[in-house]
Amino acid sequence: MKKSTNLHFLLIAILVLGSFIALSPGFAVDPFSSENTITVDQIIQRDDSKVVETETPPVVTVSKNEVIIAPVKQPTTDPEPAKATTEEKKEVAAPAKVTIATEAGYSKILEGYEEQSISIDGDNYCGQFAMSSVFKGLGIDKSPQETYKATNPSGIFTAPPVIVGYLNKNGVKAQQRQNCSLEDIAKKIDAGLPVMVLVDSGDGTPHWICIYGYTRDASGKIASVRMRDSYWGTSSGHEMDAETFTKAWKQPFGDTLIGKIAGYSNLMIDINGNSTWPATPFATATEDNMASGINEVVTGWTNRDWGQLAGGAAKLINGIPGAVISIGSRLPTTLGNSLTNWGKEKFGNSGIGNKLLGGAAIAGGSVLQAGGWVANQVGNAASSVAKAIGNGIGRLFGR
Amino acid sequence: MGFFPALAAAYVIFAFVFQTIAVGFIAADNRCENHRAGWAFLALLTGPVGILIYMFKGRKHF
Repeated sequence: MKKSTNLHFLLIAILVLGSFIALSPGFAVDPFSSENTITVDQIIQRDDSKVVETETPPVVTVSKNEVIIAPVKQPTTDPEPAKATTEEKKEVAAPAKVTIATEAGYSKILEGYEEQSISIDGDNYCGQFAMSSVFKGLGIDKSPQETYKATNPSGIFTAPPVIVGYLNKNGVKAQQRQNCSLEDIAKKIDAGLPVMVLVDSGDGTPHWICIYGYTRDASGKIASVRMRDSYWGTSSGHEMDAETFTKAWKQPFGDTLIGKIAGYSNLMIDINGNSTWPATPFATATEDNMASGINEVVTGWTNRDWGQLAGGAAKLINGIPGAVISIGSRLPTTLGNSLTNWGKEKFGNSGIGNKLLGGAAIAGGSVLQAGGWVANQVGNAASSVAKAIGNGIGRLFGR
Repeated sequence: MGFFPALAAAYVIFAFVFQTIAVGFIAADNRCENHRAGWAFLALLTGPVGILIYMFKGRKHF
């Protein structure tokens, strides 16, 4: 064996392992430390006659379309699984908005979500709970147990493409979107549609919720959102202030290793989105391929669905290069960000030396950032191909 | 969320190890006929598919 080839091997091994180690600090983060835990304040709600209490001052007037929210129980912040209850059989009415105006702002809440009774017979996972809430709210009769068995029977994470696929398969046109804003959520609710979003439930655990209402303060800013989910809003609607929600929505995996690797941020499942293709964004193709591959392999194995298992395995095997390139691209991007910030700081100081050094650092950092961006796109392209092959194999088996 | 983080972390580690071995193997293989860098780049971009193609098309067969 030639010496030069050995050197190549060593160099590549150092580069690859170096990039991986650079991502490893997340291992050291304790997900249960108070710094990484989001505490959700309780918001007490009461059904007094024609009064709905929120964080805003007491209601003074109620708009023309005066509607009172059904009695709600005090929400709990303690994590507790959904209690088994009899599934509501009657169909939910078509989406309708309830607007409650006060001097300090107004709330818009979709009807048919607040009082939903959802049970998955003890196997109450967030993605299935939130999907069940959407189905019920849109008047689609879908058994939560069926949703659970089809999408996440082993109780692991439900990948965004799995949710999009299942909603589409069952008559709800859905699209996955990345980097959405609170205003995007408000627009959907204004149009009479709920949204599903992925948030951090407090310890870096990603959690699906269904949002069906929001409140604006007197200045017009969104002050809170109203949700149903299997953690906070199990038995009735739960109000979360915008600040807490925004933080949890931005980093659904928190400050963990997966959080550093996964690019999911402000992810929203857009119900009846304008565009029908692609259903999942290119920007998170690697994360989607990896998450849905794992999801399909585990679900396919649990349900003895060999088509699903083969499709998932194809995604994971063919997704190897995409995962390596995309995740490897985080290193130059992170280095580039640090170098650029340092350069800006230097450049701001007086003196020709600082200007030169700062300028060079900004230029070098920008090159690194651009290189990282290009590598990420290459990785996403490779993952998109892997995803298409996996989906194609699944279809061959009639899925 | 169950064991998803463990599975995802294991997959990422496996992917990095696999690609390191695949590209390293092509870089060090003394039966590589020519275009070593090209084969290594193909393996980097296509993973298992690229290494399979290399095994059949890129090596000297005595």
